[in-house]
Amino acid sequence: MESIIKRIEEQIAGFAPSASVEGVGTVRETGDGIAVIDGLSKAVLSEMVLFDPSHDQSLEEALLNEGSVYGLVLNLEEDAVRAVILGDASNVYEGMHVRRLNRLLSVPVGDGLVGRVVNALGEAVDAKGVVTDTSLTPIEREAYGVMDRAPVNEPLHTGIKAIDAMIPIGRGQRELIIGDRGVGKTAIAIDTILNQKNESVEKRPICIYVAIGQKESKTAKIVADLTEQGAMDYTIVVTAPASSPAAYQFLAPFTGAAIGEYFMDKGRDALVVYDDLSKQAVAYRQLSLLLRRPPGREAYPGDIFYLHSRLLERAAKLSNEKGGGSLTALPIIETQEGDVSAYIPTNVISITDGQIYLQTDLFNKGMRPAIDVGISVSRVGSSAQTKAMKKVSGKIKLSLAQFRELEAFTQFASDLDADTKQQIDAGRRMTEVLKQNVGHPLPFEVAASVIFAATNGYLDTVRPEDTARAQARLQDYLEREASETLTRIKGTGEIDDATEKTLRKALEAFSTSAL
Amino acid sequence: MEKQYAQALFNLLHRSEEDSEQLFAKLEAHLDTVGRTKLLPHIYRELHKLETAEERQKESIEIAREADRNSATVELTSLGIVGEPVVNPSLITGWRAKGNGSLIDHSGKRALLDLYQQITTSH
Repeated sequence: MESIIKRIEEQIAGFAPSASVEGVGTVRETGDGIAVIDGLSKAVLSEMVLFDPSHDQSLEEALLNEGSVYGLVLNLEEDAVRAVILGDASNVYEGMHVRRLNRLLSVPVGDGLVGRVVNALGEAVDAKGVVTDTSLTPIEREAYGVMDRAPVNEPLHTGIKAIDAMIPIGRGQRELIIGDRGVGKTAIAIDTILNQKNESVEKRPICIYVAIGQKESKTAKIVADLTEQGAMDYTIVVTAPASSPAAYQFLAPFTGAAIGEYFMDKGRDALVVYDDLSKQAVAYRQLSLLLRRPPGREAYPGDIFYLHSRLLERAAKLSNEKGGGSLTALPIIETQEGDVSAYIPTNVISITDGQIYLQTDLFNKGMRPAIDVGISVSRVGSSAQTKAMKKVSGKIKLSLAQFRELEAFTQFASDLDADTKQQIDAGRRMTEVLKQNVGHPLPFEVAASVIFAATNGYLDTVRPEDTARAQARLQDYLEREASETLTRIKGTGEIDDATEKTLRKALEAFSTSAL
Repeated sequence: MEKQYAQALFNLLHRSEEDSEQLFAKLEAHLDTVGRTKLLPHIYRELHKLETAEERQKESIEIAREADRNSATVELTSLGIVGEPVVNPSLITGWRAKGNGSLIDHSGKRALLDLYQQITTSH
């Protein structure tokens, strides 16, 4: 309290009117969240401006009025400037005084944001008070160049067997999650965040979940789930709900990227989930049309590709000279009727380093996560896998592809030879092994051990329809009876000869006793 | 098209020595000739916007009190700002000069508001 009083005394003592020159303008017209401003001849693109009602008010009115609103200059025209209003647009009126702030739009970043829920401007919205221990950084910045980057070779474990085995994600990669509504895209992202709890504190990435255009009830439920599971200790949520202005939905992903870059620049790992970029594209389209920018295909502006490419290029794995940190991006795109050849999906597919494609048909058949491994890909591949996972998952994708062909064949062939039946049963069993309940990510050592068991015949005596139960018992058994083996796999990241021996011993004991 | 017509009319009103009534009459006659009479109300609305914008961009010098006129004039002159100040008591003390897209706010009101902002956002 003493220090606060002292600081106020110093500020009052140093009080004096300043005589600095400011660029000013006047609102000519406003509507739909956009203000057309006369003057501001020296304004730059993406500069912040302040709609200042106090210019025409008395001191008392100005102190009582909370009507100052910020704006973002997005159009520089011949005789006026168009700015997006970042706040309550009803506080902006014709003739209102506007001041240039001589800085680009900046948001607070820092360790103080961890565990908090903020809006697109970095303001806390979780009723836990003002965010402290932060510094301001521009919301947009150029991505790191080629020479500052290092190859992606460290795994980011999602805890989802199908992904970690066949579509592995590395730290610094951009992996798209794409599918129709209600197929489990957000579930994959949230499970990835939850799984980071299984990492050691030093290696655990800071997770940033950016909710764009989502229902507030959905975001609230996600925050509650993350809090319940202890994941909010390393997670930041940036929310721009469906009820927020289009400007906030446009800016929120950039805020998430800026927050993630803070940790990356400090040599730490960060993970940012953009849920979802389709809504950001729609918000940007709305803004662009209101700014009278010429519409292109599907009424999107001509720079819609650049919107996503400059955002996603900010994900990187930095070289050791730059601190070795990383920012992994998991953008989400919602398709309509499974159409991956639409405009926005194809744009983002061409930007990212792979995609996880979720199929509605698979979801409805009970295959969850409903990942179509045939067309899902990770362009980083096994470079982002531990040796343990690489060892056990080598041939899964191929064998599943063969199984799918055979499975189609069984629909019209009634008499199958024993080998074919065995292959089909093995495929069905593996499909069951890859199913996983939502909200239950698996540590990679457990996942690798389960897949090892499946690919080495330890579950061959189990009927395909009983595989889920057997798998649950196997997991339980390994955690109880083979915890040392699991710890060794986790510590070394591989299944060497000695570890394989003990693992096989444990699996044989399990097969004998439990199956 | 109305914006372009309004801008042209605005330029003529400021450049030409002709009477404004005559210019308006000529505009109406021209629009009648090209069959665009319906644009007239829109043109006048745009013209009003241009005139309002110009009015707002005009240079202005305000002082807080009549008693400050001399001291304010000295300070303004030293900054190269000349003009006839208008009294605006809401400034509390000091002066404020605006023109050519720039503002110098040397008023007590602005200083107090900035101080309030500093104190309330940092504590």
